[in-house]
Amino acid sequence: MGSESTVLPPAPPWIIRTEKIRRVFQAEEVATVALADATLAVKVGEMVAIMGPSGSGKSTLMAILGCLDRPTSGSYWLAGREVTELSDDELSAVRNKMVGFVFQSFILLQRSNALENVELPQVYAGIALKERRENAGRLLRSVGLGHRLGHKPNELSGGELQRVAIARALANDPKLLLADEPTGNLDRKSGAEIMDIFRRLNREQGMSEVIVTHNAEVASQCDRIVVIEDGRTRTEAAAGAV
Amino acid sequence: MGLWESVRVAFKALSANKLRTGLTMLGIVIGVFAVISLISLGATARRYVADQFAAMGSNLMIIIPGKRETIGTSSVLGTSIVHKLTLEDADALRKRLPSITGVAPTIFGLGLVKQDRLSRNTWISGTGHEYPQVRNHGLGAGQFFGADDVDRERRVATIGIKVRAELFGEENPLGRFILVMGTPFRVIGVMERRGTSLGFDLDDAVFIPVSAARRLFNSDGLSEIFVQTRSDGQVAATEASIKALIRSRHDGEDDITVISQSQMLSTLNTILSALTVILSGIAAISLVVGGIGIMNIMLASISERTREIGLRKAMGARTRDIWTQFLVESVVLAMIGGLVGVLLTAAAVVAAQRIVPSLPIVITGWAVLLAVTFSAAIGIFFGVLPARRASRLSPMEALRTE
Repeated sequence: MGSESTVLPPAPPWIIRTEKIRRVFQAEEVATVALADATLAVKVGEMVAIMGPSGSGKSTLMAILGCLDRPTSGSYWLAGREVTELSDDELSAVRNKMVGFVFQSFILLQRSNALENVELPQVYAGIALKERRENAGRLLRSVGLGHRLGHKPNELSGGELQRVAIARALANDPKLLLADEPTGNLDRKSGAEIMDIFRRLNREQGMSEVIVTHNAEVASQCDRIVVIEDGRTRTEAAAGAV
Repeated sequence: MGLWESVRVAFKALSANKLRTGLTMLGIVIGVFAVISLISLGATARRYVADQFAAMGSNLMIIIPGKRETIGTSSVLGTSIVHKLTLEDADALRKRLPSITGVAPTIFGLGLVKQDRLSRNTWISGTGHEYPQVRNHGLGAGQFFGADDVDRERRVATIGIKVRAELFGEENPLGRFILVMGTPFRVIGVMERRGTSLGFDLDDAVFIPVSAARRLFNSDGLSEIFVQTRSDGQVAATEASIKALIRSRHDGEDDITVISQSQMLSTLNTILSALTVILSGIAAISLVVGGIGIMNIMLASISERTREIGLRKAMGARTRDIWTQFLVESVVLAMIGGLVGVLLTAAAVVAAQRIVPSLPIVITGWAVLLAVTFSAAIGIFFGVLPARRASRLSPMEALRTE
């Protein structure tokens, strides 16, 4: 509940900047504090891992960072824009244009093929069918799935599904990739391939990435590790220190 | 997301579970089928009645003795004398009112008719010589009796086609004698087939001069006078002048009832319309039940697709995009059901006409339009609640649902 307004430092440019984010879930009489004064800053082009035990508030933090949820109090600037006060429709637009999501369980439309799944964010951006189909094809080829365009999810392996999901996350040229345990449902080899893609996107395209993980090997490939415990961003450690 | 996109998504979602979609549609199909069939049946019945009335004789009025509308007051006072309708009344109408183009003063009753050893209880209709013209009932053979026969009370008869068949079989009845209630009459003609009119089987009747019938039934009073009027639409004026003339002849008493054909037709139409509305209303209930089925399925579908909704929201779908998507799905479901219902009705009509070709079935265009519009409205009405529920899901919670 800071009364004084926070002035952003001029440099370096932050993709994510949060101030004392609090998230309380009120269920009948019981209030659960999922996030207590979580403060996080991620530079543009940075690749950050978030680690922490189950129930520490990682998922809640990710939901708020991805504008899927609002904090109970605190401030959040995404690419310099305070988003906690935005309307639902404005948040939809932010999710659509600024953020790409990758989930642990992929979450693809089962009845749609790889191309159509990748098109989904572009559908809500109002892009015409022909253009979005071209974009989707290009993105799928860039993650090595050029030969799987017409395949439906039940015809693809776990590693391939996650690559479709990454292509989908990139569909509207987002500024930030948020991945929630992206290798959690994958075998070692596929997981490593997925991490290669994340690294390549970060190194070659300067994509800002926040990756929630339990896996120290995954975390070690990031620039920085943020540990969250009991709803607090307790430690910020350099990569390799955990 | 555009409307077309929503329709595409809706078709995809609906085709994913074809059995469930089909069963849900069935409710609407049956409802639409019931509504269109009943409205069309009502229209068919009205047309049938109109045809029957046209056949009864054009511009027909029926005068019957007794004032039907005011039975209460006059009988309580006890001063009113109900005058009989007489042949002289009929003559006066014919001669004095130029708007009347024909009269058929009639006395009828059941009586025994004999020929040789065959006998039959049948309608004896004593009537005037203008009867064929007034009632639009032509002759099959021979002739009808003339004015002269009525004046001279001649014992001649024209018989209905059923009476002819029963009494004479294949023999020629013309010139033969029949006993009508014990009195011999000479058969001079046979009427053409006509069927039942006003609850009276005209084929099972014997027509004799009204003067002769008066003697047979031993009565001065006429049962009714059929009046044919000019086809100039002046029904009300003619009715008024008939009443005025009879009143002057009946000592100022309003003691007759005049029923016009158009009046009867409109009464019957009112009854049939009311019946149609009631039956369609009942049929519409089945449409509403179908709508509830749609709502049920939409709600089930939403809880199954919660994660999909969460995903779409995460990918940038706005509340109204989700709302539109589910509403369109519900409307598409209902409208396809409606169209199938229309096609089914059309097929039923074709089948019915093949079985009974004489049935004048009318499928009214507005019934089809109404049914399809109504099913779309049902899709909207019963889709709004599920669509609202879907669109308001929190994206974070929706994504967490397994």
